[in-house]
Amino acid sequence: MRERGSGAPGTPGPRVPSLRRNRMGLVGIGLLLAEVMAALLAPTLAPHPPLDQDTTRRLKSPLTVAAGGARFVLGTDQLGRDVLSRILYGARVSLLIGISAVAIAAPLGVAVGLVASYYGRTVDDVMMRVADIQLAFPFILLAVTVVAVLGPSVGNLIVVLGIAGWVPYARLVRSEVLTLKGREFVDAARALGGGDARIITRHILPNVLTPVVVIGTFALANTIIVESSLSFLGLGVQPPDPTWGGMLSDSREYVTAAWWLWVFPGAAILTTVLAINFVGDWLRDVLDPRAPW
Amino acid sequence: MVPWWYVGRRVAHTALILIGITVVVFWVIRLSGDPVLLMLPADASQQDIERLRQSLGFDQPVHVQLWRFMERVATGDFGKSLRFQEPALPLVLDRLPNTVLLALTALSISTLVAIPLGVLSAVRRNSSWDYAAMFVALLGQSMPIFWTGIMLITVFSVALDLFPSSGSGTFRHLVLPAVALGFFSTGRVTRLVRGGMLEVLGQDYVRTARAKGLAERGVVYRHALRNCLLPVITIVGLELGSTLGGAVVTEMVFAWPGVGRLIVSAIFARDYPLVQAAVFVVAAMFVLVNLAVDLLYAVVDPRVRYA
Repeated sequence: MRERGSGAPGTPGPRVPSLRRNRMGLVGIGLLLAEVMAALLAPTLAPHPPLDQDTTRRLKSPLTVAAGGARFVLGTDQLGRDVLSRILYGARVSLLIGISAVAIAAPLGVAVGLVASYYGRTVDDVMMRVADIQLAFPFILLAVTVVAVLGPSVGNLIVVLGIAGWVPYARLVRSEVLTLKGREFVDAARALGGGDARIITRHILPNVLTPVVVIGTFALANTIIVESSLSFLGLGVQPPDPTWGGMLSDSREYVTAAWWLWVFPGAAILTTVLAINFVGDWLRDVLDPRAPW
Repeated sequence: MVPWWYVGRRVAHTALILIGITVVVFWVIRLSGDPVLLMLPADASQQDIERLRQSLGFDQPVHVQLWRFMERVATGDFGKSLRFQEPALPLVLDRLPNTVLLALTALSISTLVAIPLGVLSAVRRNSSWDYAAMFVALLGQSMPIFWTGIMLITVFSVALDLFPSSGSGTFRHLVLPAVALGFFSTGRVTRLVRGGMLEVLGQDYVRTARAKGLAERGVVYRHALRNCLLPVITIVGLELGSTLGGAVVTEMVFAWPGVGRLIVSAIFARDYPLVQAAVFVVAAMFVLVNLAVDLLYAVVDPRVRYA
């Protein structure tokens, strides 16, 4: 982790977030809000029940109007289920798991980072070794194995992805605190009789929250990719519940026969993750303009 | 010259992490309570359960089990694969070259694309080139590997019939999986090269090089790029971790016979001794590669502080 403010002096051009970047941030926020609304309102918005099978209307192409007037805007899958409805319900799964996992990982990592860096020495050593050990396992591999052992329920996925995601926050907070610890305002707080707990929560924590929000945003994007990867492998949320990764897994046998089966769920993942990454970039520019990248 | 105590400390640190990995691999199959139930089908009889429990030593106290497990791992013994009835470690090592080949090709592709793209982006900062490069980088990070894979198969195997969609053995088999896997890490490496270049371009020696009238090309490639490439080595070493993770998914999409596919099929077959061996090998490889990168880095860059 680089130290803040060590960005080279005289870097060409002033570092003002350009309008174009901000525009991408706005696009990201807009897309994301639309997505959250779509997920929340899925039961109202979905034109068909997501599990409603009917093999007489299987693999209908997009914009098909079935006998009886039922519309399938994005087509139907190999069991005759409406693709649009399944994508809407899939958004619920992805966003619920992604947001909940980050909501577990971020506080956990921040707490570990604060404790490790504030107390230093042995506590710090032990916690950073534990982080090294965890980082030795590729995230997906760890998630695949633990979820397979515990069983692939939504709750287990949230807990596993949440607990496995603490390391980046802890490392970030740790490096920030190490630079903050020697600053005058911390000395001043101590001179005024502030105890450890008070100094950590009142004086140090507010100063590290900004970069935490930024990496939390990128972590959300990554968690959604990992969740969809697990569903794709058949180790995530189990069928028949609709997930984007699961839909893509099913589509593999129909790559040419039914393009809509892999185009739309994939586009849903791409749009979501891209939107979140746009927001992350924008937040980084606005909240942390000195970050060198 | 790298001081010997630095080498010694890095090696000791790595050994400690390897021990930690072993403990995690031991615990992971015990997370659900009874690992024996995990390894048997739901309709297994009480007799079968007891027999397997005894043959795997799971009837012993946990600390005894852990100690025995560590002893066996130290000699490379992860027990027998339940499905193949063969020692698990050789089965994994058999598949390892395939995964290494895939991961290294993917990392080479992403590095070769990322360096010019990152340099261009930094040199032409805030130009349309910069935005285009950053958008491609973001796209790579935002597309799940399996979707990239399905698209590559649809276009290059099914429609154009240029490359096989699955299997291994020839160079042509390697192309699509390596591209799918490489595209994902291209984004991150590009951003880091760009960040590193931006920082280096602001340094005094770059200003000096410009001031003495060097052509911009010389400044960028001779003075700036060379100095920002060293951190890139470290990043690529760390990137190996997510590439190995991505390899699990890539191998499933393209039926590539590597360790990742072995792990997933072993999970479905409830063959947990094999899962343990494979997960250990992947994690150990990552740690050893990063030890090598750290030591190499210290040799190559005299400015490294041995903190």
